[in-house]
Amino acid sequence: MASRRDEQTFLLVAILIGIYSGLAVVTFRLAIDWIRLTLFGAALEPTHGRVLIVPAVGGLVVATLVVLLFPTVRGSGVNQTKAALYIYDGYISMRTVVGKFMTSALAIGSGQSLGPEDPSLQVGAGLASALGRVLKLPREQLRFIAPVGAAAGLAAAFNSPITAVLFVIEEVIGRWSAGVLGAVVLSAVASVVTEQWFLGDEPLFRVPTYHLVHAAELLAYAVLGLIGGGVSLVFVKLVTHLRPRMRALPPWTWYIQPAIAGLFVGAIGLQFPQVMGAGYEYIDRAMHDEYGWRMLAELCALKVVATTASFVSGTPGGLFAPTLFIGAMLGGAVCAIERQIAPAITGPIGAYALVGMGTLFAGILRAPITSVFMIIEVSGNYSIILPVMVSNTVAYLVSRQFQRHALFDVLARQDGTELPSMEEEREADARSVEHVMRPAEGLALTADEAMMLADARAARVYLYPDQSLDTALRVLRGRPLVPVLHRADPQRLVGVVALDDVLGESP
Amino acid sequence: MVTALVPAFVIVNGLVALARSGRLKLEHEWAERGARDLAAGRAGDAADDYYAAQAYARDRGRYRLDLSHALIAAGRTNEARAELETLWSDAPGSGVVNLELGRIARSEPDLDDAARYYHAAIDGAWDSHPVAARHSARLELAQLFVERGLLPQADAELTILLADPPVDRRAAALAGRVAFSRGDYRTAAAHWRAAGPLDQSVSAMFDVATRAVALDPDARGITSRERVRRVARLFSIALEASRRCESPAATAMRDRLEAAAPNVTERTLSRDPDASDATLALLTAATSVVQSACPAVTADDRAMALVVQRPRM
Repeated sequence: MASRRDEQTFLLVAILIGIYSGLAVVTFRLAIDWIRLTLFGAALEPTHGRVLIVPAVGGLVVATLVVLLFPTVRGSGVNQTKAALYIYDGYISMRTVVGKFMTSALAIGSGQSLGPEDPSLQVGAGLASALGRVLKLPREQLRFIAPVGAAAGLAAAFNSPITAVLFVIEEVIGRWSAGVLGAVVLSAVASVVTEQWFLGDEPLFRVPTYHLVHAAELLAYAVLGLIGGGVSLVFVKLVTHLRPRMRALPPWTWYIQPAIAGLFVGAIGLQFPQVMGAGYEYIDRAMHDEYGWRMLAELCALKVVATTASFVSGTPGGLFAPTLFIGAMLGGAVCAIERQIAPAITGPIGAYALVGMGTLFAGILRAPITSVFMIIEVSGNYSIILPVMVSNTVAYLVSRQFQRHALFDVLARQDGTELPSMEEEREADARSVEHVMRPAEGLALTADEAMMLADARAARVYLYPDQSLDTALRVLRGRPLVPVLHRADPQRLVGVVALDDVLGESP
Repeated sequence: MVTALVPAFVIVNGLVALARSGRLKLEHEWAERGARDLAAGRAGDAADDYYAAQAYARDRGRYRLDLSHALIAAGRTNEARAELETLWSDAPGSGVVNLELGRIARSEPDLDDAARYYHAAIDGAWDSHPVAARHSARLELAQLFVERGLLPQADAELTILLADPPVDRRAAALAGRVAFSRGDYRTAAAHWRAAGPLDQSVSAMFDVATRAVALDPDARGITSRERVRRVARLFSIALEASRRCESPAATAMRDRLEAAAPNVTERTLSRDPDASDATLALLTAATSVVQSACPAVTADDRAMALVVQRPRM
């Protein structure tokens, strides 16, 4: 960020982005609702004819729009936002925004098994990008404006600003920069306030009261994490295996792939209408103990299949809501089974469904911190943190053990884009000076080197063992050899480092 | 950009208002349909209707109570409990929510939850007719205690219910049962008398209780002559019962009673103060033997059994 004044302007722009994103998300939700009511009618369980035909015809229309008019709107929108940040200097075209809005609303409203959050994220990012261009923001600010809008879009869609901020920081930006963080927070808050202004502050789910029945119950949550990790793997493997194969089919099939996926989802919907669309109302009902374990397990499995079909067909739409749906059903099923085995230590089904959502979020989307805070924010219940942490961590570890790269990273590579993987960056081994220095013990310096070292010490140029190689490179500029001193005893030489030592470490 | 916010707000506001009026219409339609279905006894359909109404309602808690009633009527108690617990988390002092939760909890082996919810309902807030609602909740709790054999607890609730006039007939009838189970037949008869017309089973119990009061030799305030008369009357009822019973054990007992009969007259009993107690001990044993072989037939038999088998100081 340039000057302090620029930073302040950027924060004001972030608020503006939040308000516009909030308005866009409100309209997006209304559009989905209107399309659903128009196409399916007012009953919660529509007639069989509509269930079968509407998603297929909707898929055909969506595919035509995507292929002919909006080719950039395929997929969820998360990677497109990352691409805007890392590749296109924050540029997302208004055509993409309009296309994403229209096609996602039609796809979700017509019953495809996808969610509105990721598209909201991309719409927010796109609006922010357009706003940045109109306001002629400097290049660096323009780059960061897309994630700021993404946070606003996601916050309004989830009605959860903390989740949105954490997700964007954890998965899109990947670092905690004060300037960007302030803008992201402000835009998220502004968008949620705008959204609540129009739609009220009703949470996504009504969460039943919860308390940990017995410490041993944490074992059950660990089991949920284990199973959740397994289900996450199945889903990710299915998507990542089938998606490139569907894309490799002749281009004329792109017109009918979403229609076939729609027909498939509709066929499932004849018996299980719950799997169609985002399915939030059914998550709510699962949390309130409406379904038996068999039904919950069936819904979990069918949602995995239906969402895979919808997503790999190239239909625009998000994975957040299906992930939460799958997790809620899985959590409910685990609870219902556990209740039969150990009723005395089993908590309410709503708690397991809630934890299940976080578990699948950690397992599929591999955003562990976001997954924990999302559940706390959605439930408004801090006491659920222990089960969430246990289950999410287990699921995350299982997923990581058997699936090397996170889903969004794989999807980006399948699209031929090398976006930085936040997970890989988090886990990259941070090499420091102590890894490359020559230790003082047994050090044999030439006369020239001894001279250079004395010069550096006289000029008060030195390094500490824990400093990064990046710092070392800057210090070593124009100085071939630098002493490495002890932090507690600056007179004590612990080693020396030369430019070649650092360069020898470079990948 | 800032100026453009104004028309943007106006447009979105218009769209939201349009959508909201449509949803409001749907919400009312489904809620009315739910009420109709519930009134017609189609509880399952009513529950689905209320689910739909709830999906379109801006405040999703609005139909939760109606939905809970429909779910309870449809026998879907797990769902009803979850809906009610959600309502409870929003309003833990709600009388009606606590009452419904208490009703669901009464089917469970652990009584503590049910009693806790019922007491919360009694102390809770009610939108309409709070006095009557609390009274009714306390009566349900008393009934629950009676069902579980917790007579002192039931008695405590019934005492409160019957403290103020007018007398609640259902509470008085229940208090009669509690007193009867306790062996306090005089109080039982008094409660049942206050309760007015009784159903057939309670009416039979009332008859037995009245007879037991009339036969009780340990009743306070009776003269020694009356006591002797009652012992003699009990003896004759027991003898008659043994004569009607053909089992070998009853026959042996009848022989014992017949052998004792010449000494169990009002005159002989009056002469020996210990004879009445000895006779009552014999009657206790005789009733036990005879009624185990031949159940009591007449109201007098039952009244006599109640009197002689009651623990005596």
